[in-house]
Amino acid sequence: MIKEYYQPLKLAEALTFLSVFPGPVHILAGGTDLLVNMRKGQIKPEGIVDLSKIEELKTISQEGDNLSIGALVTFSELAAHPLVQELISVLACGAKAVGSPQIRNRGTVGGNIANASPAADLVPVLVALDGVAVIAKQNGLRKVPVAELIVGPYKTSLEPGEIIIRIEVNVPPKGTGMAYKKVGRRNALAISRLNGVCLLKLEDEIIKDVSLIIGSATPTPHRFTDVEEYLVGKNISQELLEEAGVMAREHVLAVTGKRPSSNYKLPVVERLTVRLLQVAWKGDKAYA
Amino acid sequence: MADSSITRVDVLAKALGKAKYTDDLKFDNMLYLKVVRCPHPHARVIGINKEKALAIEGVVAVLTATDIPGLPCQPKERPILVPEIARYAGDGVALVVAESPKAALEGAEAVRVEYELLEAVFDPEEALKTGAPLVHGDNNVAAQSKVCKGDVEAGFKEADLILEREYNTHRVEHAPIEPEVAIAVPTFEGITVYCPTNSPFQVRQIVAETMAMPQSQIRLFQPTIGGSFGSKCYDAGVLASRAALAAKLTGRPCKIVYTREESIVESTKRHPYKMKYKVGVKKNGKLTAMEVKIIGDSGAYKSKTPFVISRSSIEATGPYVVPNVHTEAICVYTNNVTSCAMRGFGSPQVAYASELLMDELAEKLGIDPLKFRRINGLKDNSLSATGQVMQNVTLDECLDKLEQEIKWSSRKAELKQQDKTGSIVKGLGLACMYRGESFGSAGQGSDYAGATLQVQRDGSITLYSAMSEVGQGGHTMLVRVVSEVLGIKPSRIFVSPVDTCYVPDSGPTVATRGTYVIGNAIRLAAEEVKAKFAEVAAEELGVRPEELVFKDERIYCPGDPSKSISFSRIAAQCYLKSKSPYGYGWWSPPVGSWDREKGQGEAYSSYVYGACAAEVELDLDLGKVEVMKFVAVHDVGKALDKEEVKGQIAGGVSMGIGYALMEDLVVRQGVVKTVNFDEYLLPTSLDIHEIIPVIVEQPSSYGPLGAKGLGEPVMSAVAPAILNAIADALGTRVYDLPANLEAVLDKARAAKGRCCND
Repeated sequence: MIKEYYQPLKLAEALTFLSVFPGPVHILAGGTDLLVNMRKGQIKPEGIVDLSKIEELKTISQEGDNLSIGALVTFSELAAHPLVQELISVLACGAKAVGSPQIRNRGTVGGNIANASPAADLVPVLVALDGVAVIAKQNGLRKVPVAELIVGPYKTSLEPGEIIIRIEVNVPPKGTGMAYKKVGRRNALAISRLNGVCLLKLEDEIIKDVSLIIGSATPTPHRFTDVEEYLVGKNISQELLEEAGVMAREHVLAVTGKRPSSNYKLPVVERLTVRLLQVAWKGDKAYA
Repeated sequence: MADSSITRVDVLAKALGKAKYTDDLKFDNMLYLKVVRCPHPHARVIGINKEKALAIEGVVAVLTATDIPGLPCQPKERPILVPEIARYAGDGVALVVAESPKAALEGAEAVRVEYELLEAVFDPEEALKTGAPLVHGDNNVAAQSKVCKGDVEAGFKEADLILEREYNTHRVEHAPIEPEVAIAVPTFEGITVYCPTNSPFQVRQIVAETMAMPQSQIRLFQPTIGGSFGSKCYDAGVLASRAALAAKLTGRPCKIVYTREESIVESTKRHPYKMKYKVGVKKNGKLTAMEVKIIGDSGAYKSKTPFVISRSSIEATGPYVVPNVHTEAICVYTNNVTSCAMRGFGSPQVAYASELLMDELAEKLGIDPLKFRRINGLKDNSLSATGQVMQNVTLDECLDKLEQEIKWSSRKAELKQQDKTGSIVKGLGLACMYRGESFGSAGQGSDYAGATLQVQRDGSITLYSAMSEVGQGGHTMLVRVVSEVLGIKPSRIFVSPVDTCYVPDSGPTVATRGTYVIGNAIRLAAEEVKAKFAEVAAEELGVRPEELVFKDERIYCPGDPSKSISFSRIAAQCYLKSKSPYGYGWWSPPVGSWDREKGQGEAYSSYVYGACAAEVELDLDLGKVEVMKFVAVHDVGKALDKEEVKGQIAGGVSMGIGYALMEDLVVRQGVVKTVNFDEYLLPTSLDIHEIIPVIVEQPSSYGPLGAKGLGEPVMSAVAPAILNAIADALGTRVYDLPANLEAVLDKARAAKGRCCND
């Protein structure tokens, strides 16, 4: 039973509350996962700290080569932000792929990470951008790459008393090709069957840098470094992308082993990889 | 006549949030109910320990089957509460009555039920085998139905080509936006039940049987209904009875409202079918024989299965002339969730199979699929599969309009030229449908409707019927009929809420019978008023009654403009002169002969026809299908309101898209897995693209003002048109529903010569 519901205006107040509250306490950001799980009876918090009125967690700003995204920024705000659209349009694609307008209006970037669903729509983009989560607790800050923060399906290494306050992502160099794609059973309110993101930097048709993730294919989102390393330094061609597709598929098979869903997912991972690379290479829009 | 649309009578209250749904109603001193359900697919209840539940603060009572004063149910029907054997994982075992929903929930969790697990059976074919666990009776057969015409063996001998195919359709959920709910209020005289249902008198009957009370002492009031699609009949009866039981025993108002999860776990579904077709055809495209074997899953109880399977067997050949037919349909009890009525009622399954079959035959013979339908399609005086001489057949008109609207030949040719080397391919497919209106002679029960009109002193009118406004526009249709007959404005007609205390029994609002049967009853009521008013007006004006015309709120002599009087003045005159201002109509469709043994005769007094086409876009890499354009042509006899017709078509097409591509109620070992809308996927607005409704108007001989029903027909041909379009795009076929990502990708890869496990 909920004994205390606390809605602070300042981050410091939230952190203090977390440090002193005696029972199980949950953090409410947008509530799009928390409330669902509470209704199902899967979690029974005694305390709730609602971050939604903490303005300092809602900003998006450019700091040098980084874009800093407040943890309480909603998917709708992220997708519509001029800096995001100008610098990292693929973030907007990932944000727009989430659920429905209602969910995008409530769900937050920090919440998407903290929930750690293997099918999260935005997290793969954050990981592809080498996103780093800045985490606060009562006496200090720590920074952890998003890829390391998520340690398993619905599991993070967040400790009691900690709050994700912002995410810092690299702004890709100018001329970086970007692609995002979500595969769902329907066109809205779908849980990703698979999704994927690709960033591609070419110089004279030579791949200088590439970041590739197929999400919802593995227990945690991570860069497909074996595929990336194979690609870097090579001359881009359709044949090369096809090879990358096969490698991505083998990568997923190696991570997950054969599963009932493999019949569908493995061939799609291959094609999705090829298409993401194609769009990042030649596309004029980031949505594959 | 009826060319302009009128404002729907229920639209303002709904759009402004003023409509009161059952869950909005509050009564003093109200109690709340929660059902304790058996989690096992087949189990004997050994004991029910109420102690812990009763110890919870706020829990007032825990009721079980022994508390039921009347019948827990009719034989082989789903009990209000299980007396001994639970037959599916969802059967209600006990009912917790409490001061708050929270206490009721805690109480339900605290009730301890001891079960003896019984062997269960989930596959209809397994259930038919000797030694299979018995759900009911001694062989698990829920119902059988046959249609036999001519000699199929001889027909196959004549054929140049014989094709055998198997089709499987899946179990789907009605998913009305309002889950099941009921409130029962005990009164000095009896019980008043507030319940959204499409069958108010049937629900009242179930409550009366449960409570062992006369039907007239049960008053069923129908608040605003949040959709039904066929679900709010027996399911509503169960809830209404549970609420009534608790109300009577506690003496307090009792409310029962399901969460979406409870609704999906407990409520009835569409029958899944396995259908085996063998068909013979000559090189010229003429069908010679068809043999059909259908096995359906009735689930744990009988419900409307006998009627569903009967309709399926009658319509199994599709709207085609087949000289020799042998159809055997059987539905079988299993320990799965119960199957019952759902929009289409046995039509969509066989329309799916027969239309995929027609398409494949056309392809094998190298005949254009639309032309193939024309070659075999029913025409006036054709003999149907049941040997009925068909009249007023409009299949060709529907095909004509379809051909024009989608530019069939040229679009087909364009698509043939498309570049198929990429990952996106397009396809065009069509499907036809026909469907018997209302219950029919084959016996879906007696078919009748009563309806009443009272003209008030000011000439405004109150309309009484049991028509359930489930979102289809049924009340607006009734208003339109009365308005046309009496020549008065629709805004002067008020539709009474459905209250079994006052309204005549119009039968249930099912089987696409609202317009056809209830519409006729209200037409007769209006004509009675018209005759009475004509007499009074004739006296006033000094003319003969038959000289009078009712139009624009006036009654007048067309030949003499001075002989004119307002409708409202005559209404006042009736009251002054003690003349009846009431009209009463009772209508029943004509019943033809029916030979149950052979399934031969006049199955239905009238039929509706339609033809649909879908253009799909397939992503071969992902297995994803988008229905980019859907043209739905339907003969509605006479569109009583064109906008309503278009809306009903759009709704049916959307539902059909869900049926074809994504909806799928997953049941494993009798346990429903997809219990909410995050996993049971209905199409969203982003999944529905262009829908083009096309109206054909060939007046019906029987319908009011020539109108025909449309509610269910709009669903039937959608899935097969889409699946035929997918086949056109792929060059290979998906035979089983749904054509989801996995099924389509599998076929796409097979078509490209890649094995699914490579």
